[in-house]
Amino acid sequence: MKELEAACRKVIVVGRDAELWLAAGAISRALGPAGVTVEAVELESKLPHWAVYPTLPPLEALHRRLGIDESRLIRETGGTFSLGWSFGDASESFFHAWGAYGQGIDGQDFLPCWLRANRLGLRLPYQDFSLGAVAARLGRVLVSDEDTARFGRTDYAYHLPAHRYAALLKAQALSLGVTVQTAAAVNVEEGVGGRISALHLNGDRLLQADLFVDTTGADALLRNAVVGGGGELAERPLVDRVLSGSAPRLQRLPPFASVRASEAGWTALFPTQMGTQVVHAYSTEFASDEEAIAAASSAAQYPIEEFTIAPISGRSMSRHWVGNVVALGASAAPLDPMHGADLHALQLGVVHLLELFPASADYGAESAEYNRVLGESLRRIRDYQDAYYRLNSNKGAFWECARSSPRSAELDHRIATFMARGEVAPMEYDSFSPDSWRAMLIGLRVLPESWPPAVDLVPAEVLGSQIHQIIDFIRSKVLQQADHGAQLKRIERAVA
Amino acid sequence: TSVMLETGEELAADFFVDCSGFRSLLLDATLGVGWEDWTHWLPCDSALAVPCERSDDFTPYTRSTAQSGGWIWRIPLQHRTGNGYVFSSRFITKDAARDALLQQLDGEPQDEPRLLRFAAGRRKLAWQNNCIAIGLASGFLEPLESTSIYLIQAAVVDLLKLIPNRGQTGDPRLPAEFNRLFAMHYDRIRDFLVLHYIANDRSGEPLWDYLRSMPLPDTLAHKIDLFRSRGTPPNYELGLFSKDSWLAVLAGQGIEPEAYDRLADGHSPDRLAQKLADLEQRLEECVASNPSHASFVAEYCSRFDASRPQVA
Repeated sequence: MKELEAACRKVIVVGRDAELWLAAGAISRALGPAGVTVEAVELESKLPHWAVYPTLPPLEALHRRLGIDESRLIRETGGTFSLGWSFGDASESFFHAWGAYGQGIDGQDFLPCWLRANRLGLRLPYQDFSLGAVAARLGRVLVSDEDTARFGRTDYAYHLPAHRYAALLKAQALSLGVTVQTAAAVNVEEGVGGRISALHLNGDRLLQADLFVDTTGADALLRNAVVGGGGELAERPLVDRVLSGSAPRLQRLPPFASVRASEAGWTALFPTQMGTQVVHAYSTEFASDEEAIAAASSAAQYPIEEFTIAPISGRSMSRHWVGNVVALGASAAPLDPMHGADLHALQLGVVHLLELFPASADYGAESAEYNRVLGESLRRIRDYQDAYYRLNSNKGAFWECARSSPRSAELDHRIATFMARGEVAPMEYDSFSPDSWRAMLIGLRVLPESWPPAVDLVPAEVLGSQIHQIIDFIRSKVLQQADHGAQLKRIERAVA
Repeated sequence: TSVMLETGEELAADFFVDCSGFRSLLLDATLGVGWEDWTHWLPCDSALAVPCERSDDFTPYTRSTAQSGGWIWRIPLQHRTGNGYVFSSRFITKDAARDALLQQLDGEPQDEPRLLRFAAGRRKLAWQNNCIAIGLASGFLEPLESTSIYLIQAAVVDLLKLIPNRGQTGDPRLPAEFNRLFAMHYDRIRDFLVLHYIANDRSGEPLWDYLRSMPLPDTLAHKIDLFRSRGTPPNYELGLFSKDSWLAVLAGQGIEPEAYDRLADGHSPDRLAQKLADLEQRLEECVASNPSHASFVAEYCSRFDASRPQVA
């Protein structure tokens, strides 16, 4: 056995906001019983008061591990439920819902059946076959039960006011044994072999640990110290600037995010009980900041006065664990804001760090595996984001540039396979389900040119009747669901 | 566009499936699709197969026993037992293998051992133009984990999804995905089989010395490094072998992790010992409540009345 006494016993997590507390809390929860202590070094938040975190469905599982009850989450943050993302305006829109679209028919996958039914005269949009999409359209939530479980997955996510969410996570992390020091500034002392030997806080306090976790976001304070400023050379991202603006709380809270494209970028609205965050993604090559503010205001139908603008740098998708430093979330790889995957990327990093947490003084195999898995996971997220940029039909020079930008070989292969046959080529480490890929590609009007010949053997009457059964099921199930606003009020009132 | 039979008859078709075995009449002999050779990782290139009389040891599993030149399989069937010595002709002669095989049989041989020759590897592509190879025409891996039929099944399932429609046989996007999946299936199984050989302690035996020291595929090396470091097995979503299969072979082949996952430290050693003992007991009780292989097969088959006519 390797020298187990030399195993990692003390972890310092440096960073801010939800990223800091999710990481610190999760590590303490999982490894506290194993004798690992976690200290958080909290830097000042850079998020404006109106900031909102969009999330992906798997975050709920992490909350459960941390002991955060969903009702408490919604009550204390003033957040809302999100059944997915709506793209486009009324005339030409599609909805990407988390969860299943359609159901198998006569042993065949749903999508080819839908394609064939369309050829035979059916004119129902693909998203009519998603419980989430239909519920969202009717402003309802979606609570799973035995019937929906038989139908397919009914995932959902949240929109969480950032500061309240971070405060909740902080309280939970502290109750899980995390200790905290606040700092205005952190200086990194490098030791032998490019490893961090200590941190200096505010110029005087010295902190040491076996492992340092970087959740400082775009600053990547710790990571840059061991890898070198800016990390490896990376291509300039298409979207290099993000505007975050404040808009009032919507009267009727939609249970989804909505995305509108404009000539030089796109705008997402994230509704919460506390107000609406408007996020506008654009490229400085195609728009000025003033144009961005105008586009965001137009999409939000509200003159935005409070806003921040932050750059997005390109950084390569590799080497997130170097020496005794593990970079999580945006400090590892800043993501384009499309599909709201920032916290999800952090969750992936945390989960894999826990799975590969150093068990002895020599953890070269662990960090190599971590970098391999995270690298692939982030590349698959970027592929899913790039699918929108590659396949949209929005007008404007920015979008022409987006459509012709180089993509990964994997994404090109997936698009080609889908166009040829409607198949989503399976790959490891994919955060987005085949249903999500299908919803996005069909929504973007990539209609497969063929389907498996076996689908033609399903009798047309069976096809027709099964499809209508699905529609009827969805309609009746959604009508049973609570109104989103009513559900939020119910949660508000039900204090344990 | 067509194949010519020995009878002189010509069969025209839009699409051809090559199940011609090792000779790969269509993909190799006709289209010249290249071969990826794996004999440096899997040096066994021959097998001697011989059936023998069924013995009382009616195991519900295949037994693979390492030998100086390879390994011997033992597969009990109802009416006989199948045996074979998979060996590398570089390291043992056919006669020596034959003697070793016959000498360890636990029943009277029912035939003269039959020799098969093969090479480990796969076609670079299984689907080229309008021809697809399935089975031995697409590649070969020794039967160490009985993967031959699985690979055929996987190919058929993938083909059903991607088979071209009329007029679509020239579309390169369908074979592109099929070939990607084909390579993944074969390469992962290859790695899994190689894993069986490399952690041996048969010093002084040339085949095993070679296997112990040969350079490994990168895709396998990092898995072994990680397991050696902390006992974490690979966990793929796709492909035949689950995390448990990898764990069974990694641990079974004696690759000792140098440390263990820290999450286990959350339990006291006594509690862990108790939980493992409980688990072991539950498994024993569950297994004990099941009939023997022999009595189950006898009873199950007696329910089937062979004299009744079969409905198609």
